[in-house]
Amino acid sequence: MDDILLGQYVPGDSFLHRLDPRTKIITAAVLVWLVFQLKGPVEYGSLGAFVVFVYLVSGVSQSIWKALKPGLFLVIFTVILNALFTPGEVLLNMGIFKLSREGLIQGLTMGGRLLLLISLSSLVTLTTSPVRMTEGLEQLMKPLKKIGFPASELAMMMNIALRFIPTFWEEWDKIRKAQLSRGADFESWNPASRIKYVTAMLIPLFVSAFRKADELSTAMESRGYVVGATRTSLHVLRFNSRDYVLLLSIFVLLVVFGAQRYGLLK
Amino acid sequence: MSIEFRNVSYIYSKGTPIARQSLKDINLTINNGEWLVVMGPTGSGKSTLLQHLNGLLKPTAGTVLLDGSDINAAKSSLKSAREKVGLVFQYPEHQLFGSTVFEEVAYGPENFGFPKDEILGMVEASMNTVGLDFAKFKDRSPHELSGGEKRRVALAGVLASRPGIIALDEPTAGLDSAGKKHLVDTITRLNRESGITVIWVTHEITEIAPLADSLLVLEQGNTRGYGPLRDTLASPLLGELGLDLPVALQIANGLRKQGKQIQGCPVTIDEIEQEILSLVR
Ligand SMILES: Nc1ncnc2c1ncn2[C@@H]1O[C@H](COP(=O)(O)OP(=O)(O)O)[C@@H](O)[C@H]1O
Ligand SMILES: [Mg+2]
Repeated sequence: MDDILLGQYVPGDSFLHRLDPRTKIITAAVLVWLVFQLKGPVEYGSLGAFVVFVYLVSGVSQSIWKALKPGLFLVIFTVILNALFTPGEVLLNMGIFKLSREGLIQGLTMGGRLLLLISLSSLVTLTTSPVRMTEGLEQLMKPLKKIGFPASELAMMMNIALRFIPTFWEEWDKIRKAQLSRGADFESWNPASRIKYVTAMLIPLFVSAFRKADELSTAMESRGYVVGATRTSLHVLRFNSRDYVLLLSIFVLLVVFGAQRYGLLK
Repeated sequence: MSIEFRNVSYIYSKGTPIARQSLKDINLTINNGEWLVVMGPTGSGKSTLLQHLNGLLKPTAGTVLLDGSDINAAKSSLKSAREKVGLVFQYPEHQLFGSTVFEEVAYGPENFGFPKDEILGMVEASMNTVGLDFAKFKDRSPHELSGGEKRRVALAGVLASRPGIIALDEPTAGLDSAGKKHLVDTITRLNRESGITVIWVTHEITEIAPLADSLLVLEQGNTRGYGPLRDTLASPLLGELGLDLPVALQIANGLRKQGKQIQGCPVTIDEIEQEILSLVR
């Protein structure tokens, strides 16, 4: 429950925390692209070591396990399926299952990619508060406004959704307790009673969501919110020297990697 | 039915960095048919205390006894506590879900396994108790009723299972004065005629001071005052915590400040009237 209340964000004051959210989103996007370009254990190992290093210096290393846990099942599943069902040079024959060399390599590669993708994207959400994250996304999507993409509205919706997660969690807890007090048995195995209990939870939750949406829209409109109007932000995002340095190094990394990969450096 | 708290403490999110002690070593005895009022500033632990009455929260330390036995001892004792202690949450109308008033009120008795033919009578009786005409309201949707009527439906839903104890969390909040009076009258009747034990959490004491027996004052999870209502009201405690005092007592305190002699602790308008008349005479 506390996980949901606090979200993924771990407050802190590291280099990564102080970066502009746009820098982090761009850098993560470039590194994600890089993950798909890597070949061989040395390259994967180096990027993996780099990610672990960043976790350590950002003071979010305790959260690495929390970040990876939900995806771990998928990773293991991927490795096993690929290893057993890819045709190739058989290393181990277990009847219908044949562990192949190609399969093992492919499974490990895909598993490694998944791990890297999860840990990279978590690095952004662990060190960026939800509000700064939506601001960053809004700024990055701004150019799309010209072709009619509702960037500000989307960011406002994300902010409202984030703002209401704890509220609805509290509401859920209250409704659950009220139902328990009237004898609801949420552990019942009887499907008919289970359906009854679920509706008894969901209807008040929806009614309260509509009531809150109504109240919020009235409050916003009475304070002059107009869809599509230009608004200023309380905290203006500004690139600092550390942002420029990082973006430049990422650019250099890209150029060097591309040149190396496509043989321009020989 | 009687309820007893023995050295009850409760800590939210125990063992985490956001742990918070919300009840500290609470001792209470609420006898059969007694009416206890609980007061305290916001965040003092009133709602937390109520949730211990039917085992929604388990004490971190200490025990809650219902008619002498620990409600958290076993699953069966917990279930029976849920049935015997009716809990009316703050704004209970927000928890309505039924498509008809009948379905809503029958939910409790159904869950507690009462036979179908008995449930009909239970629903009718509890709707009558809260002043909702059975024939007129039973097939209406609770969501289209007025705020005051919704709250009565929610109260009927708790009363339908015939609890021996009813605990209400700020039940008059958001009601108009007619609605408040109706609610106080309903609970008074239940207490006087059916002998139901009442635990009433409130910020407004004037209406119920003449009716209740005892008063518990909480502050930051600690018992600051506990005892017969008039004794607790007579101490300067409520004023110190910035809590509401009965109007009659406010008048009495004002007169005392001017050096007038007022006897005892008047809590009704009649009592303060007598005092003032004897001053004039
Ligand atoms: N679900 C919860 N999780 C964590 N802390 C809580 C929770 N509910 C209440 N508290 C805390 O416990 C204390 C007592 O709260 P509560 O019993 O609701 O007080 P009251 O009803 O007197 O206003 C408050 O400090 C509150 O912040
Ligand atoms: Mg409360």
